[in-house]
Amino acid sequence: MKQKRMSSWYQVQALLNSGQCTLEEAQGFLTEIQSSEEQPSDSPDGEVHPVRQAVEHLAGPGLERETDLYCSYMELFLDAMAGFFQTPALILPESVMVDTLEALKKNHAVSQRMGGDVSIVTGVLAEDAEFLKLASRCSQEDLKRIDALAKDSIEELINVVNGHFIIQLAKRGIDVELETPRSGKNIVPHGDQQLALRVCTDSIIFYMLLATDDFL
Amino acid sequence: MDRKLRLLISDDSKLLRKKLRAELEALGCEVIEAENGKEAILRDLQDEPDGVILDIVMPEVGGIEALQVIKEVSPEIPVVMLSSAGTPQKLMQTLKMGALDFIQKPYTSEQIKKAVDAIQKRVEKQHEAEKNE
Repeated sequence: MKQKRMSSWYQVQALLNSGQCTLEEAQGFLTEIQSSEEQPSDSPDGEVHPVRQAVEHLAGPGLERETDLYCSYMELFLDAMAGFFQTPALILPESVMVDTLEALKKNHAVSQRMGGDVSIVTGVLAEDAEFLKLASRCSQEDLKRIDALAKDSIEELINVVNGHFIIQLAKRGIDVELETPRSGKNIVPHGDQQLALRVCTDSIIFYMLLATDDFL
Repeated sequence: MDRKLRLLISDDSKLLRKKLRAELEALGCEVIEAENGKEAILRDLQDEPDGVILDIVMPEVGGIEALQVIKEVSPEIPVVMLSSAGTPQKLMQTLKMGALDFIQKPYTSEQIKKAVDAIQKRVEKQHEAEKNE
């Protein structure tokens, strides 16, 4: 796998979806992509987006009504990670059960509700060490502990993505407003129609949470 | 102007205020901070800034309400919205309410410089108009 050069994180997501690379290999590709001076390639046209494939596969039965919205959100989220935060990320093709989240003893989470014509709450949950790494990466600050700046960093990540998401929804005639982000620690999220996705960057692993009501 | 441009920034994110302060100070501005809309209104009254950079989604009093009050109290003050909530509806609403510009987050240094230049021009124009009165 290592001999093949990846120019876009979409390609790596497609490989992950089809089981053709491991987490370690995927993270290696992301490191290469990040250090490359090449411009990332455009979104794949004329085919199902690999992010959509991954979310549809993991959403499963019971989330049929929400799946399209969750897919659109995750496409935007991962685009923003690569574009705005220079941190390409991928969805790992494995179901995240509630007991997986319960096992994360020391964690921090941030969420933000978008309410109006539809209700959707999105958030990031991570073990403390991973939360801090993600906060440092997104803020480009050398953060030493989970304090107000670290939480603000993840809140800004979610807020920026959600802002672009509500603009995308407005173009589809769906009117929603952003609420102020919330944060919490050592939580086990239980949201309605909740989907938890395990996400990796080159060196950080965290969980994306999507639901139709507050889970913090 | 023979003194620094004094700008009020209002955002509930301490991180954003820290980064924006650094950008504005590098551009030669003096910075006052507020962490929500209510504090922004108070600061506007007390500190009489030359311009305001205002977020929309904030606790207690949001940016839209703050913009309304600030414009009632200081109709001439230039206010630039800096928010993630830049739907066409919000954009139109804030511009109609008198906002000078709307910057969608995440911002770039160029956008901030352009906003500062626009505020500076507006302030100088006001000073000239006052002189000629």
